[in-house]
Amino acid sequence: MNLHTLSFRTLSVALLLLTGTGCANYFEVNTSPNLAATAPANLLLTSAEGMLGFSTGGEVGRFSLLFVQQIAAQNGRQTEAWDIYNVQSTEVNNLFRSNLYAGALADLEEIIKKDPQSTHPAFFGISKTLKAYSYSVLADLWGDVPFSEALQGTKNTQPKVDPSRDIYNGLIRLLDEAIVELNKTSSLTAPTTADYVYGGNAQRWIRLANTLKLRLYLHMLNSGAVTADAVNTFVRATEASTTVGFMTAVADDFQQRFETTANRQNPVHQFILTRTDDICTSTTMINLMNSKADPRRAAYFTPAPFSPALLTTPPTSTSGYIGLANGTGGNQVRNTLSRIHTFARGALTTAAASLPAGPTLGVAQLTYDGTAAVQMLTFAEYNFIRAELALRYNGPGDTQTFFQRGITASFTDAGLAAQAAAYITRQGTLTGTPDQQLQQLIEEKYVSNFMVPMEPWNDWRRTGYPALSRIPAAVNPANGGRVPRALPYPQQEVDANPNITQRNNLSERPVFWDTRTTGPQ
Amino acid sequence: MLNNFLRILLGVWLTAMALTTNAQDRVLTGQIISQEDGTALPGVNVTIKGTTRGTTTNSEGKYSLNVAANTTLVFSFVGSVAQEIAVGNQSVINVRLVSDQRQLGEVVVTALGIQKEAKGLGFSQTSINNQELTVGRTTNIANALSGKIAGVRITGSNGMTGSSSNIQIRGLTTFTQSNQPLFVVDGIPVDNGGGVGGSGLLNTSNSQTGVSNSNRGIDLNQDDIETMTVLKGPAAAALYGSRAAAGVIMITTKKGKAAGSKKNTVSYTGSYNAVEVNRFPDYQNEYGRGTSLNAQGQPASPVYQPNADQLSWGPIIRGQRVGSAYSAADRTLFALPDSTVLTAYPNNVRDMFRRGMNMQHNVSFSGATDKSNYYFSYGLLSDKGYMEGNQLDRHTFAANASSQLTNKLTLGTNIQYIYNTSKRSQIGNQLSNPLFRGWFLPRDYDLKNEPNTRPDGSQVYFNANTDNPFWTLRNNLYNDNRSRLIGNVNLTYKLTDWLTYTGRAGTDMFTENRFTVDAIGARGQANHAVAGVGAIGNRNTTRRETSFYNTLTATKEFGDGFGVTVLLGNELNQINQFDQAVVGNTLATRDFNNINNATNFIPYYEQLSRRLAGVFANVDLRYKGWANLTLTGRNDWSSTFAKGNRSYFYPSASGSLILSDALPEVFGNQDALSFLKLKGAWAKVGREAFLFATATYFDNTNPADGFGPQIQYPFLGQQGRTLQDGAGNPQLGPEFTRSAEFGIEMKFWQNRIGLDITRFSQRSTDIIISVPIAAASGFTNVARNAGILESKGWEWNLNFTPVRNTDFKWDINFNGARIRNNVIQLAEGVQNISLGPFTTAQGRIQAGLPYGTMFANTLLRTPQGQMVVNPTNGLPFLDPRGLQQVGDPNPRWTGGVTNNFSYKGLNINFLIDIRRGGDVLSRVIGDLRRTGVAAETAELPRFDANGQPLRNYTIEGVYGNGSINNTLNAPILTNRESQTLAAGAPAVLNQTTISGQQYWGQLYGFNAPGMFIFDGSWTRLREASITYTVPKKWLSRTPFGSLEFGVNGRNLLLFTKVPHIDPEFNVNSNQNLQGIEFNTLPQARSYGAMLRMSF
Repeated sequence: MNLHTLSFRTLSVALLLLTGTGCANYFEVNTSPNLAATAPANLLLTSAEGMLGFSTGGEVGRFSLLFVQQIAAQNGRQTEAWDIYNVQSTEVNNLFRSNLYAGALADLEEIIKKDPQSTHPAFFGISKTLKAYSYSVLADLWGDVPFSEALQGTKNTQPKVDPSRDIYNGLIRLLDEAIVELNKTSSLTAPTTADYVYGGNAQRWIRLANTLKLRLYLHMLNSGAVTADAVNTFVRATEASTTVGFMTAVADDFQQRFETTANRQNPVHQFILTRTDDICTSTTMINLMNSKADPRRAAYFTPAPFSPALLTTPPTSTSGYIGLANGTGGNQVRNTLSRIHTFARGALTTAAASLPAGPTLGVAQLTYDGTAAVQMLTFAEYNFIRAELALRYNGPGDTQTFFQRGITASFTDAGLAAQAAAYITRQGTLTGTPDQQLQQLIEEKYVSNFMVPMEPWNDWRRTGYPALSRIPAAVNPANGGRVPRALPYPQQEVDANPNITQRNNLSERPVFWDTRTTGPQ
Repeated sequence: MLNNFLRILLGVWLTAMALTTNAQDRVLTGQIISQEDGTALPGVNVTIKGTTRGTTTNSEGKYSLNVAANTTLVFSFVGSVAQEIAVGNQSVINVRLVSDQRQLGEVVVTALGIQKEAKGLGFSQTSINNQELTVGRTTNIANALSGKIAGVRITGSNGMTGSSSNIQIRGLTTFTQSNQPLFVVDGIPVDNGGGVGGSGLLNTSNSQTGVSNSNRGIDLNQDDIETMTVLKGPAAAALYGSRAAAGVIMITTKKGKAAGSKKNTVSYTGSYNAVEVNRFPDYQNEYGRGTSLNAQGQPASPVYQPNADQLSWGPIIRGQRVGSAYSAADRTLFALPDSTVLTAYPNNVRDMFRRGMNMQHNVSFSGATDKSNYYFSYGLLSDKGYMEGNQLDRHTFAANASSQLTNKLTLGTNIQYIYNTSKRSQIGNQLSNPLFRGWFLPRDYDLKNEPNTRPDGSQVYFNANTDNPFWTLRNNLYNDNRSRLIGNVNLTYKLTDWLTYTGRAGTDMFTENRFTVDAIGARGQANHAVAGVGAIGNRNTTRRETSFYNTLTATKEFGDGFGVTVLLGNELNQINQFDQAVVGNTLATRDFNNINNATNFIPYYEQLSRRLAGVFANVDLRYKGWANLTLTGRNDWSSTFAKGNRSYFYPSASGSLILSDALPEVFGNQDALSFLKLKGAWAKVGREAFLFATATYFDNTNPADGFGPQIQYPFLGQQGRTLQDGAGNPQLGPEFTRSAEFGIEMKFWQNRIGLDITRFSQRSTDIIISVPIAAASGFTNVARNAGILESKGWEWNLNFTPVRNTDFKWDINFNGARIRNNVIQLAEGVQNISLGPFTTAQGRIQAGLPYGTMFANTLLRTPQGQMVVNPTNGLPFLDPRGLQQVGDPNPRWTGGVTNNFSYKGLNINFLIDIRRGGDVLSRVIGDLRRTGVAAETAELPRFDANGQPLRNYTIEGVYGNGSINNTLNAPILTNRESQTLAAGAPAVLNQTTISGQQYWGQLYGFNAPGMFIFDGSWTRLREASITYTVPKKWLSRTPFGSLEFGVNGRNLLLFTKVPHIDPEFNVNSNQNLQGIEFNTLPQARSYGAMLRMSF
């Protein structure tokens, strides 16, 4: 064969020459002219931030907020299956694989790998903070995932999984490293517009890094992975620091903005556009807010039964909004329910006058500009964390003060700052036993964290609040109506990485801090 | 059965051999003319049967021969059916010879234009001539092959005008790259891509947006084609190299010929066919919109829901008054009453369709002298689809000429120019598809007469979540046009009498413009998924493929019957493509369909090029015409591999032994077995990698969640660049397909029966796939050579001529194939690869299973197949174990039966196309049943006399609690009181009754698509024609040289056990996924008349 091949080659050269084509570069056309071979840090950063905001606000939000009953599902499609805790392992491939690991994390890692001599340290600080946030979402959703051996490209295509406790410890270290980088000065070009979140403001990133650390510590406290003393020491030291401490105002909110134009809008809004009826509001959330006649309902939900006039003059009583009990979608569409409103979709673009008066037609014709931000960690939440720290762990500061500041911040986020004081007068005082106070606190945090991916569900897993309804046993008897504590590992990842073992059901507790054995399960 | 047949055969043959003849010579004369056109046939062999004695006819077709009285004469002529006539005491025997198109290929053209004697071929190839090709007057020539060639399976995407067709030759040879054969027109490879469905954007093919596109073979004009030859698989196609692993479709266009004494001919062919829907679902017309379940899912009195979800489980339609579905404003606008009389509209879905038409006109001018020939033609095809707004218009111009300039030098050229325009409508899993929910319109909704568009252009529909079918057809547009040139120049130079050089340079280039409009207010994704703000897309694609061939052919016939032909040659092939697109969204007004009307713009640009060079050699060895051996070798260099891996070599060998010629002493003196041939071939062919797979790049950021939501960059004023999910691999090498085949060809009784059976097996190794890897690495996949795929099967072709005499002839051809595709191995660590289209209901490539095995969520069943039912409510459970294997889309066998009757000038031809086995998963059927519109959902009454729902259904199954015993991997069964059964206790049969809505809604709910599986077997009358050729003598005083007219039809009858739909569909166009259907359009039926004449 060799001789054969050789003679063919000789002949070929001769024949190529015969047809007048040079041989040397003839075949060098397999370099893509359509894609770049390199990427500077600023383009990778916009990429990572956009992907994180989109996927946490989108898929992470859909799963975690259904589980924690801020939203519910009807119309019999995938969302309704998730609402009865039928989540297929194939349905999380895209989120885990394309959007988180090979998406945002791979791009952040590309930045982190860059040469410090030519890249401004703020890029490293921001990337490490975002990396820590991303891994906290991964660990809270799936528990043990690859961390120490991850993101090494084709050098290691089957990285081992690390215990979630080790990952958390690693994230605390990562945030410390981020703060060091963010404190550095440099004559290199710092990120500005490439940073969607804070426009390159290193101080706000440091505040986020500290606040995120505090959120992680709060989780860790639940399992004793960190002592209250250590956390309180960290809080005092951070507050005493002459440089930058925790978040100080709603302007520090960690959130991703969106545009008004199609395909650049808030992912929840986009999902509702393509799946008009699938997502609705949950009775758990609506009833909680109805019982307190919460003014934030006007920003969160459409009134029901609907009439255009109610958009301008929302109901203020303990009724006027209707949710659906989770797990009772029953393959049907009900146009009589409250739907997700401006807070999660953006400003209304329909003039109320143009809507038909009918009770069902109008609500389907509401249109929004889609600019609502996806909030990932807010100043309001920071205050609720501090309130809980003071209430349960002897943390510095006054529980009541932090509690009310949290409510005020939440009202500000909802564009209803003026109504905060009246609400605090009615609902802003923690009363009763420590446990009742905790319930009240977490329920307010739950309302203020409306549509914040993960954290309301994390709070429920930690504290058992708010009380969730059980989905009907008949729709998912295998699960017995228990609220999920995890997502299945993505099937493709299990198939491709023998280090991952698929879990048996969604009630297994994958994350080390999920140790609560009392209260509702 | 075959055994018995052979035994009888042998008996007949032995009897025949025993016959002897008695000689008593006298002179016999006569003239041989052609049955078709009455012209004299020179060169016809006239032989005395059983001897080698004979003569040939002279230039006037006349002969004379000394014969004995009891002899039988055999009149045989290339391209004609041989005739035997007993001499008796006649002295003049005039014969009309009927042309036999199948025999035309005495000498056939194989790969690279090499001419060979058909009977000596060792590999498999089949030719279809123009007459066979054009029986059905189809638009897409790929469809014209359907059922005609063993082992070639054609699947039309749907019945939309201009939709593509999938061609599979001997199954599949690769996993995710194209399995479509290479198209070669007059020796030059041309593009048959483009059939992928999808939107107007670059390289987006998905099931969620866009239209059904054409495969580019649709550009070719069937009336310009002389023959279409299918080179089946690697052995036949090896010389065409790296793109021929899936076989080659070799098209030869018409060349000028002298017709008798006429040097120039003008011909016209025209046809006019009506086009209509092949099959509609069967609907109930008794129950109206609404539901008869309460919020808890329990049967309750029916509620009429004029504008809620599209369920038809509402009240009985008996002319009662019900509230209007429209808002007060719309009622005023359209002058609609506040309430309407509930009425059934049995044809409301049918109203969406119309009668289309297919009109074809073709004029050609051709002629020849002994030194040169020419053929010019113009063809017009106008195809008005069966849905409003679907239209395809095609103009084709062909110019073929060749001239022998000197004794040694011949120059030729073949050129085709095609211009076509199409208007298409939305398909797919999206709300802008008029049939997305259109197949299950409520029976009481009068689609045609209720309003669909307000004066301001916005849509109005009873269902606020779906596009009104008429509105989307009129407002969401997809128009495209194509300007294409296919041509070559060729030169043949006879260096010596045994050495010839041939050079050929050719190109296939086209420019395509697409214009897409998503109307303001569209509720579906339409072309651009812009969620109602409107978008316009302009896309321009230029593709250019250029090929050069040089070949040197040396032929030497040695004494004693030994002959050698050696061919050496090379090929250069390069493809360049440019794609430019702009999509503008957020339209300012709805009355101006120009991209200037948009507010935001997204530009796209893509460019690709691919180069391939090959050198090849072909050695033919012949001995006395009955022993043949062909050896080929080819070495390719492909730009798709990195430097060190570019060169690869592959050989082939094929041979045949014609025993009937080799052993005349055994076969010569008998009638029964007139021809016996053994053939075999072995080949290996390489395949290239997909483009740009050897390096890793950064992609433009575009996060998406698979449901439509996405973020397009630039976002918030910034560009974004993301590390590609797929890692490149510089080590990539070619994948190889090896094939082996062995066959036997037999002809009996003067070729009255011909049987050709071939066994083949193909094995592809080192298949290039994008292998999923742990995404925690930062990549989701990497291009690798991994995986083995096998395809094995039998092909048969049986010709039978039950009647053959001067005036009447009846031919039957039965061809078929049984093919098994098995995935032997995937890459290490990869359990399966999904071919889409959904997460649940997907075709998979999985080791140990047939290619494309279907997986889906389905209802829980016991290992014995009984449904598990909840004793408390009588409803089934979703199988909690996730996706289950639910079906195999590969047919057990496919085949076609052609019957051809000719009586004088009258010809009747019909083709029965058969498919046995092969599962289909139909979401349309699921939808029709779930929503309660299918006829069978009303077979039992739904309500009692008081209007209360009846519980008159019971799911056949056993009680269980829906969970799984993990040790046994089987459902846990219970008794009626929900107590778990003891191990070994007999299952308790379900007796809990439920209502019709519960029954159909649960069994066909869309969370369990595994329930929508049906056996996709069919038998259909694929093509039929009746034509009459006016005898020559009647035309002698007219200007006509020939005149033929007739009627024809396609897809005329369908027999299948699949309810409601036509099981022939292919939602992913010419991609590899098979068998899964959603909201698809039915195939089209066409029938009409044709006229063919020449002057």
